[in-house]
Amino acid sequence: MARVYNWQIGREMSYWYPENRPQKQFAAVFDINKCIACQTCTLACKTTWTSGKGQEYMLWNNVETKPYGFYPLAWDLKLLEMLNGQRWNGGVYEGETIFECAPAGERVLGWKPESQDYAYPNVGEDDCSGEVHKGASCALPHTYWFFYLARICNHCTYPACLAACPRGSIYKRPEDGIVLLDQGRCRGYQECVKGCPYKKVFFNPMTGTSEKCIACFPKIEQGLQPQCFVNCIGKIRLAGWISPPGKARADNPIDYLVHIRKVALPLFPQFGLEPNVYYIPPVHVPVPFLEQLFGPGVSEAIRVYRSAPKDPDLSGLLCLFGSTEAIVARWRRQGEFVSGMDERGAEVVRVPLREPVEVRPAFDSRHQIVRINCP
Amino acid sequence: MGVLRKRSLWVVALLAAGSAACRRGPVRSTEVVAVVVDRIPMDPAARAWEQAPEHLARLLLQDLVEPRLLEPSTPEVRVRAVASQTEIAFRLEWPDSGRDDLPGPGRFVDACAVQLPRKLEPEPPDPQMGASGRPVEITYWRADWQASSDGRRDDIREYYPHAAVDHYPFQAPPLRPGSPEQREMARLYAPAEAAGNRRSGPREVPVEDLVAEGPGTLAPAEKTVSRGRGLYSGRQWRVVLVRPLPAGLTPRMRTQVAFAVWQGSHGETGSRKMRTGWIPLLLKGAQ
Amino acid sequence: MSRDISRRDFFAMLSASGLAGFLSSIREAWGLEAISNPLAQYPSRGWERVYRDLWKYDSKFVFLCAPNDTHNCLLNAYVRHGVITRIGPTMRYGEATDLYGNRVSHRWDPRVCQKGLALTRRFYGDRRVNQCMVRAGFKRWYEDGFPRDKDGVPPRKYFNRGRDEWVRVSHDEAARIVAAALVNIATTYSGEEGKRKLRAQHYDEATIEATQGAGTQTLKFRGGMPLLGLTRVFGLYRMANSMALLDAKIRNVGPDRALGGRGFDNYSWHTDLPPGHPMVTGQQTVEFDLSAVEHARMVVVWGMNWITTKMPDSHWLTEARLKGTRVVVIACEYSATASKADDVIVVRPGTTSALALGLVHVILRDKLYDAAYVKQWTDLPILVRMDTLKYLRAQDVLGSAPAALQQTRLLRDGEREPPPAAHREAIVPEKMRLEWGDFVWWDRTTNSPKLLTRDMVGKNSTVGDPLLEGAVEVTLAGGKRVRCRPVFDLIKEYAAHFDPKSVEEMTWAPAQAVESLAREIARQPGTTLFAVGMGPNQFFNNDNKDRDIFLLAALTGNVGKIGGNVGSYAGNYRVALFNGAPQYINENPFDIELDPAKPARPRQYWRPESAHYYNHEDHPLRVGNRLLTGKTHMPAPTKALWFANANSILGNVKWHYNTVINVLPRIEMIAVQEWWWTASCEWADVVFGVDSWAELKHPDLTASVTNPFLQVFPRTPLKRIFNTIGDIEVLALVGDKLAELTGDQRFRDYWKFVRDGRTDVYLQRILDFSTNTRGYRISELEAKAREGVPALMLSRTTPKVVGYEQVMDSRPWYTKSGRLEFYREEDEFIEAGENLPVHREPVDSTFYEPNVIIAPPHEALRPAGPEVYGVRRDDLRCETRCGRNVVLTWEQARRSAHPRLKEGFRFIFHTPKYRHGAHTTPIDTDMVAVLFGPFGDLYRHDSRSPFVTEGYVDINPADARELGIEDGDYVWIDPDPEDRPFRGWERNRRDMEFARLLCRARYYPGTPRGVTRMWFNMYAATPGSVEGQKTRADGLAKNPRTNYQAMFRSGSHQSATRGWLKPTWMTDSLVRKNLFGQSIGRGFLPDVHCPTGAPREAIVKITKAEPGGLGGQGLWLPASLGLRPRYESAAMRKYLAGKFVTRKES
Repeated sequence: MARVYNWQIGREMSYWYPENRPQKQFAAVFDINKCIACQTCTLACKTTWTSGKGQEYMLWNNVETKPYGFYPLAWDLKLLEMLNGQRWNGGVYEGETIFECAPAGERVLGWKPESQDYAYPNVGEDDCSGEVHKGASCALPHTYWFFYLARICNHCTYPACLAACPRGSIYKRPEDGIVLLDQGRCRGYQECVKGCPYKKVFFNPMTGTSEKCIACFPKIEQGLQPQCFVNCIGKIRLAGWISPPGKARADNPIDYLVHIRKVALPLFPQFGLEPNVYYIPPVHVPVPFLEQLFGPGVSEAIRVYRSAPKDPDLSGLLCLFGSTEAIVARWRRQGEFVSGMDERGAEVVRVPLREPVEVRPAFDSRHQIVRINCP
Repeated sequence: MGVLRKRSLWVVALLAAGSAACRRGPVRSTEVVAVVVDRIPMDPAARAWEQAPEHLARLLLQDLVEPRLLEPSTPEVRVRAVASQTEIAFRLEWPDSGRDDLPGPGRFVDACAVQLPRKLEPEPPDPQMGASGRPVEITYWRADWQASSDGRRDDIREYYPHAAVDHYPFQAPPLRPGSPEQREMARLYAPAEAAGNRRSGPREVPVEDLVAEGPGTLAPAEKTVSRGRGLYSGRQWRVVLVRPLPAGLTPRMRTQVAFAVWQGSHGETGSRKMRTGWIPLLLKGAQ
Repeated sequence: MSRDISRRDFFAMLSASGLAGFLSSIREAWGLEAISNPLAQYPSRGWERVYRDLWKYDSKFVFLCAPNDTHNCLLNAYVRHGVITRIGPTMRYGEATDLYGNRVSHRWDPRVCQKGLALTRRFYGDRRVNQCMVRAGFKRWYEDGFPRDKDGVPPRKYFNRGRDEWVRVSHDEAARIVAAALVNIATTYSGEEGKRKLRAQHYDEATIEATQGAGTQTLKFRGGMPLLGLTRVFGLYRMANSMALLDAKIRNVGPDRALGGRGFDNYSWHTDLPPGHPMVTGQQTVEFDLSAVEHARMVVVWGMNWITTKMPDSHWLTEARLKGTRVVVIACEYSATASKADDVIVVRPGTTSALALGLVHVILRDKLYDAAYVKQWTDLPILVRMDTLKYLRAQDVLGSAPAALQQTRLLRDGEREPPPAAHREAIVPEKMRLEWGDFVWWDRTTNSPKLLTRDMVGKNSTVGDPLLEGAVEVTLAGGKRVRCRPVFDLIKEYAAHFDPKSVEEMTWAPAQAVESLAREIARQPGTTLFAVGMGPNQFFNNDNKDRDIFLLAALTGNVGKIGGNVGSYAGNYRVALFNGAPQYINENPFDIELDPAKPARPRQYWRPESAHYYNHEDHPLRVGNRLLTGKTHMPAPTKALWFANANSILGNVKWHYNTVINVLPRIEMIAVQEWWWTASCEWADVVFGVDSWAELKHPDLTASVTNPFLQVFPRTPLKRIFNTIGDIEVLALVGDKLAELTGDQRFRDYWKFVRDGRTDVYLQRILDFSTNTRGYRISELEAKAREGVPALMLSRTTPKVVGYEQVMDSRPWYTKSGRLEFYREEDEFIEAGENLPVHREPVDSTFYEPNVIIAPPHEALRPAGPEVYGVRRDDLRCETRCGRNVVLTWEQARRSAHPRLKEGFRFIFHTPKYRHGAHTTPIDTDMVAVLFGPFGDLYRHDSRSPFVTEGYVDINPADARELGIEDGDYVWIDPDPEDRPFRGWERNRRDMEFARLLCRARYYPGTPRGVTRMWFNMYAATPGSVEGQKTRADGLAKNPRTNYQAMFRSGSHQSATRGWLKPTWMTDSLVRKNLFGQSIGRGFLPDVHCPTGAPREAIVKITKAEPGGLGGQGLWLPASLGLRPRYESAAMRKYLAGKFVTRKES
């Protein structure tokens, strides 16, 4: 065990290997307020990467309805039960991470899902938190609520799957921080499946190895966003690169939303993995449940998000989501327009904050015909 | 809870098997003695095995390196060995109340292995997978490979009989089944296979040859030359493992051997196993 | 050895070199040393090539995915070794432009969804229709020469539909069989002899007369939602038009007297038409492109599950909200869209009109209305005579002749209407205009009556200080004095009955919410959008709902503005977007234009008809002694049915089991064009295997009512996967066979450009003659589409907003008065007690007496009660209920009860659409299905499951507990036994076995007690699916003969629905705009003024069938694990409360 620094819990913690941050770290922001649970991301991933034998049940990307949705069943609930004293003191986590309370003989605290735990992948769909009665009505925050949680591998800074593998078959790419599972070396022990608290590593009985989300690295290598981002019609996702807190830059969209505006938060930071997918919490959900999932920054994040109508930078950037297949490494707003640029600063997309209204002539004399909305 | 139920049954079976063993009161040797025979019996039930003395090898928890096994399961394995001019064969027997040969999420398979040091030397390397520069050679058998080599189809319905799948891209027209294009496509969608990982796909032999130089270094030999066959009786496994004679091992010479057994229903896999230390292995001269 | 050689190569080399078994030098390949820190470095990464290989593709092409969801997405298909391995968005919608240089932004990208991505599994799946199939019995009937009994009925032995064997035939033979059947059926039912046979078969006399002795009138054609394929789908109507040639031959009549076939409706058939829109505006439907929400201060999403049914346009809603638009959701559950709302109001299903009246009440009570808008745009100031209940006519008061109109062109008797593209202003037959006359408002300043013509709207309105409240005695020209009241006054008196407290009892919407919402809407006139969905529209009172919502919108200035309007969202229907379509569908078959450069000379011989009569056991609505279906609507008997792109007309038909068991046996041929084996195919006689969207070899056109794009289905390079041809080629082929059978070559010439591979000729003619597309070249549009780029529709504005011209240019609406009319003076409306925009209780989905008009005693409400029709007042049978005009005050109604309530039928059962399907596409596809609801399991651990998921009912946990039903149990759902699931079920156990609804129950906390929900359109059980479940080893509900895959063990969501007909949908007198162009007519018009049915009307009884646990033992797993509502473990309760973390501020 080594001592490493995890900024999401505001302290050092123990980890199986010494701290080593990649030159660049793949990261993403998901705006839960825009997610519509259409599952297009799920199918985009499924049809691209897991259409083979033994992969039928596997969803590297899934979308579940919180609070009653789980894939696999009870994935987070089980670990929350096993994890001791989850205490936040301001931004500092004073409880134990899954590395710090690993039982004897184990490298991390985890549990093994069984085949039936993966059945019912959309259980809880649209089930709300309480029973709606005659005469129900609500304003923010809602009395009854649910929200959609889209999940992929978090390509963690301190991956539990990587720590759990006794063969060292899981590694983090120095050039982009993507966590990969070597399909040639894996011997299918499922220690990673057991160890990943997000349950984003899956065992393939037909190939005898475990498989996981690869962040579409063949696309990333070409400067393109992964499939589940490009296919996201809710336009909730933005892929890019995150800097360590000290090195955040305002023109990096991920840094801006995570470090500067603090509107996007990690999922279960208390597990201790420093996950790199950041979520904008849903504004209609009561804070306690959200803090359980996203940590102590929830109230502030919701306040910032709700200030967007008076904040063209924030609303502009959020309207840029999903408008290009290219990775947006830099961004800027000029008046009514927001632009995304690649790492060299070349513009890859430009959109208006509001889509303009176009009015055509009532009679087109060139074509001798009326143009009418009620033809 | 499924696992728990299986395990308690297994304990009962273990006692039964134990007492049965006592009644038979076989010849027990303190070392593993390989008797030279003309033809190596591949059938685990063949009478020919009775020619060789039985060695009762006590199994220990692998509790030295994480991840460890902390709850004991299979207490012992009964071993008989025979050899030919070129090969040495071991028959391992251990009680098991259920056949676990269908891998799946959180579902593991029964397996066993025989380990020998590569070099004949007075001081063998660490029995835990050898040591750097001092490799060990392992012949590994798995129940699912046995099922596969016995003819289990490469079809998800062998694992989940009621599964319904509409489509695999590599089985769609205009691809002709078995054509080179079709096989290439199928390979693409089985990443481990595409990466040359021979754990995957249908198998002819239920064993794999491996080498290691310490924990975390296990690697397949460049090709598997060993053979094997496992038979499940309803209360125990009998597995025959046949490998080449260790280089330089001649009659009346000794080397070391170690065994390991994995109890699938007990979640045993990889380093979570019951294993022995080194046991002397004598290659008996021809009578 | 270099590190980047993959291990695969390495082993290949080794085995080649044939070294001994155990080898030590492998260290080189992947290092026998344990890896020291995988965070830092990893020895050999050559294996990564595996996923780079999987990502690669040989080629890609673009196709258009266009189910009936209004979106229409150009998609990339990625091909490897000739197989489409995956699909994705083109990301080039942001490049769409028009002729004027307008352009949209990339905020329109991506356009795609999970259903589109799953299409590979349909193109190649085992339910793909990969050839032509003919039912064995039907083939024998054809081969035996169509033998019939004396009454004309074919012997039963030929008609074992749904259970018969299938024979594969060539397209050529299938076409010959269909052509022969059409000729035989048309001949059989022509002339006096034909009428005699129809009488012998007990058809309603009115329907027999409607055929006018032409057998072709019994041939019904349907191209499902023809906007989704202007040539290949709309072509079925062109085919119907060509049936006039057949009639000419059979009855030996000339082009002047020949009659074509009949074409079924679409938008109204799908219950998508909001029938009250034309009652208020004269226009089919008012709506706005959904992106307009960006320009609204507030949006009321009313019974519309926007984020599940308008998925690619959901971001406009969430982004508008992000930028400050207030989102209010009114729904009968805490819906998916509710989770995106600022305010949510949960209401009782089917009470939308009552809620709207409650809001109107507050606005009128507190005088919050937009007076200027009311005076300029509504009939509220117009006087109504209390003696006749008609509008007071100016002629009767002022004695003057009807005024000359500036904005309306009159069509003199016999004068031919110009083609739609030439319409510059409203066109009205002079005779009609004279009947209308002009109108009167009362000027309070001069205390005298004032003239009001249909020109006087908007800035041309002369209405100054009108009398809005109270009555006046008006002296007619003849000296007679009549008591008159303004429409405003009549409505205010009526709305007074809907005070917030009563409305809370009626609708369950809290009185406080009603008060505050009304104020919020009125706060800033013209800045609220009302996005109304399918929910409220699928109830019997849907026209009341529209009239009351428009009333609310008009009072607050919210009709016809970019950021303030009413929209109704369901289906992609507006063929008028291509108002040059008659160039193709109505080309005169007796005078065909074969020069590609010249336009056609349209003449319509086919007659449209509402499919709801076929759905209503093939007869009109008669209650007691009254025929309540108008003459202009009258259906003909249905003897042949041929459709394309339309599973809804049979497989997913309302009252499905009654239709297939009691109606189908009277139909002599059912031909289907399909590329996926649906329940429609299960019940058909002939199934033509046709190209999927990915294989189209003829271009086609479409557009949308919710987005601004003009789209082409491009021809694709993909080789046809199976033995299929294009839909339009099927039509041409049958045309050939008809030519052979009749010797009339015109049948063949009619499809010449299809055979020549020049379908583009027909498309260009349509573009040239459509107001919003002239100037575009089909060749250029297709070239762009091939690149994944659409064009912009040349509508007046982008976003399209219906009513824009009215409000901005002060043009009259398509009504008599040119205004939004909230009073309906026609006899049918007065008789029904709906001359005022009343609220009727639902016809079945209510706990109270069904279909009663909720009203106080009111001077202007004088409906014809049951006695007038010779029906007892206590006769509440389903059929008589439809024409029952009984008025109760809310005080009386709230004490009444649904007649079946005491027998345990106490759950409203409604069937909304959901995110996992666009109609039935592609819900039965494994990867989509497994995510549809909570019961998905690809591995089917429980083999009772009909598929990898299955139909389920959402029920409030408290109700389920009371019924002893556990979460996940199987339950029986039984509707009114009088006539559902099908008439005569008591005596027919054989068919009841597949018709009775058996499904899972889910504890669903989102709806109040008494309201249950089953999502629309999972695949229905058929005789074959039930047989499959009994005989197959895997237990799938899959037809062993056809592979049809059901998603129910028995029954379907259509087991409880019925064919309901409402008199006000069937009038001969309603004035409304014609489909194409600016001309105005009256009475029946398909998809505009015609029945819509009411598929959310069903009150049911629910009983436990089997436990939900594996194999029928115990609890369903998620419930047993304590993860479900009402089953929460201690840990789950802690989780819900967010109690796993504690937090203190440092």
